[in-house]
Amino acid sequence: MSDLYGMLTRTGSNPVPLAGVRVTGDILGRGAKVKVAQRFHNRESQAIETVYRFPLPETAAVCGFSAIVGGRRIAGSVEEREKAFETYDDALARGDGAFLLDEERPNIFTLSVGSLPPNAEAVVEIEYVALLDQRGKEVRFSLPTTISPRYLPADTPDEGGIPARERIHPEYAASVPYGLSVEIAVRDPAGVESVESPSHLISVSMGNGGTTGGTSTLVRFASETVAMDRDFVLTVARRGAEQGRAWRFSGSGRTWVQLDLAPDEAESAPGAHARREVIFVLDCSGSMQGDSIDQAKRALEVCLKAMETGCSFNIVRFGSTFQSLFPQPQAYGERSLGEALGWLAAVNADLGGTEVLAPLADVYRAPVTQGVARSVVLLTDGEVGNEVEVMSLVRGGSAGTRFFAVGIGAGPNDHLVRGLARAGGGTAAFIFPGERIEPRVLAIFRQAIGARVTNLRIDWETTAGAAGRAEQAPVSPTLLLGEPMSVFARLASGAAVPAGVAVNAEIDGKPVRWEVPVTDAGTGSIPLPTLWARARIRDLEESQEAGGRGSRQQRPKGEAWKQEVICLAREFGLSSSLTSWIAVEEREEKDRQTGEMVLRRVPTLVTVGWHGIGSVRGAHFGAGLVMSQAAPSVCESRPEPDALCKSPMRMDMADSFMLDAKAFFTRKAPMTPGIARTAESADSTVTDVLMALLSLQCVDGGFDLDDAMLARLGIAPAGIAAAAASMPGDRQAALRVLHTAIVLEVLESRFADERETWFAAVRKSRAWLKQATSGWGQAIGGKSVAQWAKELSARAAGSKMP
Amino acid sequence: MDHGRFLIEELCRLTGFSRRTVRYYVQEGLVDPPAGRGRGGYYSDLHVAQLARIRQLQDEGYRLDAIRGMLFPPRVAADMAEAARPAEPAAAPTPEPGPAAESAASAPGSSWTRHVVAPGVELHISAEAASHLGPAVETALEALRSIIHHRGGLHE
Repeated sequence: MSDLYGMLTRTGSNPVPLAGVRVTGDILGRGAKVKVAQRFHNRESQAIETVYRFPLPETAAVCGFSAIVGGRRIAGSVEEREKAFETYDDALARGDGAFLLDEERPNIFTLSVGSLPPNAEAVVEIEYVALLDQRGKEVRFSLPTTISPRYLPADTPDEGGIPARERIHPEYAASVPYGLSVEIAVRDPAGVESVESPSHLISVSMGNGGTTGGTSTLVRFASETVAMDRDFVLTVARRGAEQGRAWRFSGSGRTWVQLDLAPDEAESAPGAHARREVIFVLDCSGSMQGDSIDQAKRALEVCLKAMETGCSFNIVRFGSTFQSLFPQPQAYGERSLGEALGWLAAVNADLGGTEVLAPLADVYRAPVTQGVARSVVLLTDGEVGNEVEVMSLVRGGSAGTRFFAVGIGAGPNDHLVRGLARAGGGTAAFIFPGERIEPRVLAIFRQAIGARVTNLRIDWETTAGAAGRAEQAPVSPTLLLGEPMSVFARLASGAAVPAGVAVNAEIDGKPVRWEVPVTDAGTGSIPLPTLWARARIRDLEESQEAGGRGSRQQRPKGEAWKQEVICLAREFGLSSSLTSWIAVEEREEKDRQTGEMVLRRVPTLVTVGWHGIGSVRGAHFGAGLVMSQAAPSVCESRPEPDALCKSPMRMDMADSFMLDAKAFFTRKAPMTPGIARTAESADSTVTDVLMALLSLQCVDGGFDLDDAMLARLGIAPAGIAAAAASMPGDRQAALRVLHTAIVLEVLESRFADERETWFAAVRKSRAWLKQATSGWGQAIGGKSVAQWAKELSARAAGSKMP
Repeated sequence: MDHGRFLIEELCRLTGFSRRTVRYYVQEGLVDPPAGRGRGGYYSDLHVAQLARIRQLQDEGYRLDAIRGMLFPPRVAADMAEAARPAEPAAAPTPEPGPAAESAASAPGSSWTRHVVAPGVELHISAEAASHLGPAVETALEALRSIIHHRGGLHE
């Protein structure tokens, strides 16, 4: 990897001024409060200006910026972008020190540290808050560490007279002398069940830490520092997830309210919704080579198998060009599925550049059949720099089409993936290499083919009746069944503090209403006004990017949106596309640096796995250790050699040990008393049984179980054979009915915690079973098939649990 | 030609460029550095003219990468220049070599512009040919890039 298409530069003889990055933070329920500290040291004999381009999550509201120089903390302030640059430039001209943080994209930032004298040190601290993704009881914290090279189409316009690439690409190097350390404190009033990282080997302990220093579950890397070449992903399983909650915060005469709503998908009647058409769009550009394309293909395969009869589908793969599996979407069935799986098996990431606009434009151009609801599911690493154009296309696309995006790889462009989902009224998910694909992809897919919530209206002042209007952000939120939605509002000045929030909507055309009580947010949680302002700024920025298309109601005319963004960003202390953070270190006359200074760009690593370079494989579920809270306070041990040998993944792991001394493993830490054991028992086995079970599903939705599977479930085949003999019709067909009934019962009773994973996959099984047994009544010894399966499963569960 | 004595803010006001953009152009060698040391230096009519030329080309629809090549055609290796003799000396002055010229050796008598089509692929055009071809150079570059991408090329 000494030369990457000429992109990697040698750092040469100039010492790299970035000495290290330390991230401390708190995960509080669904919120995160994070501080990123970057330490700079000028090891040269001349003054330098250093420029460091780095990523942050696109969900981050960057709400704090300061520099520490010579023991003195200099607090930053938010200024209009160009004015901030002028302040920075003036300070450097005077010989003062200055620190400038520009937002190039919502997930790409440029830090300029001006005039660092020889041997001087400076620490820059950047603070942000964010709401984390939640699926079921799992909350996902993700911190990007590097920016993959992004593809820019040849006709990408300059931005402010400067080529677009200059705003998004850092300098790349094959190796860098600095690394990342973290300390994340996890707290949850409901309790933390487990903490795990698919990206890094972590150590988990109880202690005082994070940004507040309180007692909590502390997460650190098992090694002191790690290479900054992949996202740091942490998943926290919470004890219990709420369906709907709302909080209020009052200050400076105003009240803000946050509504979290997660309606259960059971609220929709299965099969009641319109026919579905699903277009899968698969990124086959060069950057997907290696881990990513394999993962994307598997994810697509999972979706294809979970699809229901009555749906139609097509697959489009793209790079510099694009190709479709079928000329037109085809009805889902045995034949089309077989064709799709065969086609998919031969797919490689061999289509060159990431021209994502053309295939999506083609998809949106195709008319949708009357009475059919279309969903587009994009699987990509998102490594493009023309996010605005792509989002614009999706936002302006046909109203009946929803867009879902799956971010693949060790460092996907979360701004594109999330932005597209926002623009298309869908949702986004991310899969880190080695992570279980099925739960995430099926959750997305379930929403793609599931019931649609429309005409969403939130009434923020159910008891107040105050004059003026609540400023809601986002203005047009997307509500999907089974997916938490967070919406914020700043109530009109003088409005009474509300006791509840009412939400009205339609699910597949039928009216529904939720009433959610509002409780006090208190202090110490994620600041509500900041989250509201961030959401409002994003709304303004993205509705403007749509160029007037779409249906945003509150889009200010002309340039007024810019003024509103700048005012909000300054009032709430936030970075945005139009504002930057600036801090100036005023120096004494004798310390002023008015002489020449040289520019030093901080080199960064390319994301591991990008273009097939390196691999994260080996960071596998099932390969980690299950640690226990009862274990010593700090668990720093690497996986035992014995545990590795027993692991089903041992070849992968051995390979990764040989290839990369910094091999990473998954570490899972349940917060319940227990003894340390390998992951071969417990959860991984549960998941393996579930996956094996789901793989036995037929295209029509029915299941054919073999004796081995029945044995794993603790069910004797003889009893089933006897029951089948007493049933009407063909014996083979009767067996499939019974097997299907058993699977549905087993899923409900034994895999309730994994509902996310199997729910979509077996919806068609339920429909099939209902049809196959219609009119059978009490077919088996005076019992219905469902009752029979329930009793059989309960008996088996009593004798053996999977 | 060195008239006027402007501070950076005056230069920005006169040319309509933001200070960030001017600093970038200076850093990239598209505009001469100011007179005097560091950032507090002074600018002259020469700088105003350089920026006005860039603005004019931008208004004609050129992007900075193209403008860079047009303003500062770098000289390529002597053997290529040798093969191109007897070309006329470049009409356009080359006050400062642009960054694209870093790897190009000087070749007296002719001036060539190096266009990077894709990593590992370059197109070299003499100043004389460029003056005949005009915007066709950009079109040719786009076409070449498109062909290379189409073939599952190198660039991403």
